[in-house]
Amino acid sequence: MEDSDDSFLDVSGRERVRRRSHESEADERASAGGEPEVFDADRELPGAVLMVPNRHWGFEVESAADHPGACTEYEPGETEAIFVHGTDADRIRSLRNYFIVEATEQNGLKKRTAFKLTPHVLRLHKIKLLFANRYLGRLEQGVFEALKTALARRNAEEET
Amino acid sequence: MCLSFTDHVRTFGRDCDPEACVLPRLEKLLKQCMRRRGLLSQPPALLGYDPPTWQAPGAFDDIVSDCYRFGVAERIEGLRNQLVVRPNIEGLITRNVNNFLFHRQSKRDPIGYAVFSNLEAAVADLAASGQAAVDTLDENRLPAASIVRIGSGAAGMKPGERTELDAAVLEVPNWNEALADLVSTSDEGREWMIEFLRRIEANGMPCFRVSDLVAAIASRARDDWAARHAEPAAELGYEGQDESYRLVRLVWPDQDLDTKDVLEMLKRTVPERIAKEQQARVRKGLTAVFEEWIRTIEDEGVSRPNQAELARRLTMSAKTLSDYLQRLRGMAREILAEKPDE
Repeated sequence: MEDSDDSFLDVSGRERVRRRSHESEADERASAGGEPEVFDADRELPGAVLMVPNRHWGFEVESAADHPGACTEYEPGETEAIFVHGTDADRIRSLRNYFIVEATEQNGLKKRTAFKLTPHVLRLHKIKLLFANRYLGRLEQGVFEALKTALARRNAEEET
Repeated sequence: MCLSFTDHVRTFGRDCDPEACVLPRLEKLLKQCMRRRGLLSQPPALLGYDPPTWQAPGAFDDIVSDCYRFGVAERIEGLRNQLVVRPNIEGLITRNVNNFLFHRQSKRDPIGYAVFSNLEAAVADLAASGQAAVDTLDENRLPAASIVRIGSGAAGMKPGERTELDAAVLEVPNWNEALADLVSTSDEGREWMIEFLRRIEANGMPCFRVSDLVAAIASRARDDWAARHAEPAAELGYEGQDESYRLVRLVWPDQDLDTKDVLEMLKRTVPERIAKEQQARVRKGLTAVFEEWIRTIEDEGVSRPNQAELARRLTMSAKTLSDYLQRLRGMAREILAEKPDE
């Protein structure tokens, strides 16, 4: 017989079965407790405010590598979501095509922010990554609804 | 720009852009780990992903993002703590990637996972008593690509073909009795596996590749276990085990008064649950699906439509419909669980 690895022999079959059974139970506890196995996009995305790298917006500027983005729409099961791009409201001359959001603890914005009423489609797998270290917060429900209404109205105007 | 996972963990912060630096490295590592486990040749659905094959364009987009979240981002504090006591965490990331695959596999393909676990335990027992040898091992684990030789006459022999192993599995006696032991990690499953290995050795196939043997046993076990737990054909009228089928199965109204009561209760209580949903769009979608589902049951009785038909009626994508059905099913389950026994 060929030699088998000693470390493999260190754990008997019965012990392996016992450990695996416990691993399964531990998995159950973990999923019932904290760590989500699957990113729940439908719950997490609508209203979320994230710092989005400029390349996702389709531009690069020297003043900043990223800009805030707010998710206005996500259809369950889809692989894309609609975001609007935010910028410092004090830098905007005409606020006509923008929706202003005041900075709050909940939305995580650091200053009054103007969200441009132009929808951007972002891929879900890219957004998931942003949640790891670029999540700012969540728009208040009233603000979220008002933003969506403003976006819909603005796009209806453009179509007519 | 991070040159290693260790750099990435050290510098992780808001300015960090994993997609631009560490993700290509992680994708490479993930593919290596998948290859070792024989997962690259398996359908992505075994790990819960949609692409038809791992060769499809963009097939790795989702799994790499999920792997990064599981193996790095959600463990950043623990990884940083490790950097206090060790010079790098490259090995830990490899372990986390393997854990990610293990986690996905055990959740998405529990039967395949149980068959593998029972085989690994059986081989460990046989190896301990000198009755088996394994060509390669990976940190105390049995890699899918490794070759196992049973008994003393196996040296130098070629591993059995998958088709031969399929045939051996088909010929095994008392399969139906053994099936329940095989679909979970158990001592009975380990003992069955030892007997099976002795049987194939006695039949002139003392050598096999782990992935082939697992695939041969697991595919029959999956099919037979699914068939054993399928609903009686007379109750189906459906094209498969899709969400709408499962939802309908939950409270199919028949002549039984209690079932009708349950349906009436769901008609009252599900809309209340839907009303609690935060988003108007979701409320609207759930209501449309629920009403169509109720209408279908009340109007058409047993000639129920399949999910594609439901999607067509609602002018909804199959994916969106599936998601709504899954939510409705969860609501129905919760309501039924809360229902007081009469």
